[in-house]
Amino acid sequence: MEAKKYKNQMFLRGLKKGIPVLIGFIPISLAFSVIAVQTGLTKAECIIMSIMLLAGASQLTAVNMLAVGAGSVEIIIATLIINIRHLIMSTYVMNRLEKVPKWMKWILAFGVTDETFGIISMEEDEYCNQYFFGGLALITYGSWIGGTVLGTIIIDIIPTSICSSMSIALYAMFIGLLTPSIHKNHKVLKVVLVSMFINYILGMWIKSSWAIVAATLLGGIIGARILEEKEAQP
Amino acid sequence: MSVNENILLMILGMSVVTYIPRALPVAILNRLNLSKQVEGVLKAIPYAALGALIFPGILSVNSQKLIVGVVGGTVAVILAYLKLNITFVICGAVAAVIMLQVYIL
Repeated sequence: MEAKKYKNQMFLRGLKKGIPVLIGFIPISLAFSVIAVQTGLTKAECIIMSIMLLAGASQLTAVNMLAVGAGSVEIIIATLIINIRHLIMSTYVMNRLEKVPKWMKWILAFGVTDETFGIISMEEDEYCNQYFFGGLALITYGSWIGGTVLGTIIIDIIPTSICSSMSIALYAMFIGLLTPSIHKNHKVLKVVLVSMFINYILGMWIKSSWAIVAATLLGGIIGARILEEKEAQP
Repeated sequence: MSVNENILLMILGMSVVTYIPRALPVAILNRLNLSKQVEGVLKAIPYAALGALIFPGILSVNSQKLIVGVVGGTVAVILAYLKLNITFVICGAVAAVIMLQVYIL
């Protein structure tokens, strides 16, 4: 009985800690649906994408790339490159979930996102178990799918001008994701600016979808050096 | 509710390359240590990726009027810099762009 109570408490705490993600995910997934449908995806395709991916940046990038006429191979490569960061995050998360049975880790791994990683990394060791992370991942996944479905429903109701204005949402999300890191470490801003510059220059010569892939890789390589630099002056 | 076969295949491919980085540590953890250099690059990649995703794409929010993207981006930067929750950053930028497009331009 005690064990069951413990599991429930952990699960509920995970759900509760995920509420900010829910609040953030609803408008983003909603914007995703609206933008995706405008790009030409069917509503069913949007929902399938959210169910199978649970990856905001990749899904929005895919839609953006489809809009500029990119092919499937380019989009899959861009998706891989964008998601390579999850390798590090998942390494960290799985390390902290080391006592969790392996078969369960295969399932929980699907729930590793920037947000769930960020939240569990701030938790004490006692919360690093499958119940807490399961609750956290579940509310994240639920709100992502829920927002996507909601977006496909309300797209017929909200006016087109508002729909097109919502495409700023994804850029605002990216800015909102970056800013805390820039606050913590000003060198991050340099990395961002270098990559923006590379992307802008390359974008004049090659397709913008490939420019993003190249800028991410080159920016990552140059950025690693920037982040390792010692502060010049205090 | 129709689904295009090619799009479905693309989503399948995307889901595979999305799951692999998430699941790989489960398979190989404790068996392989990444070199310091690779780790450094992976650490910088999210910043580089987000930077490349923001600019110059943000200008295409309204491809006829570049100012729309600039204003939306500036509002987002200010709100994010004030350490507001990401939801308010998004809502603020969306509201600013709606007002700009509907009432001013």
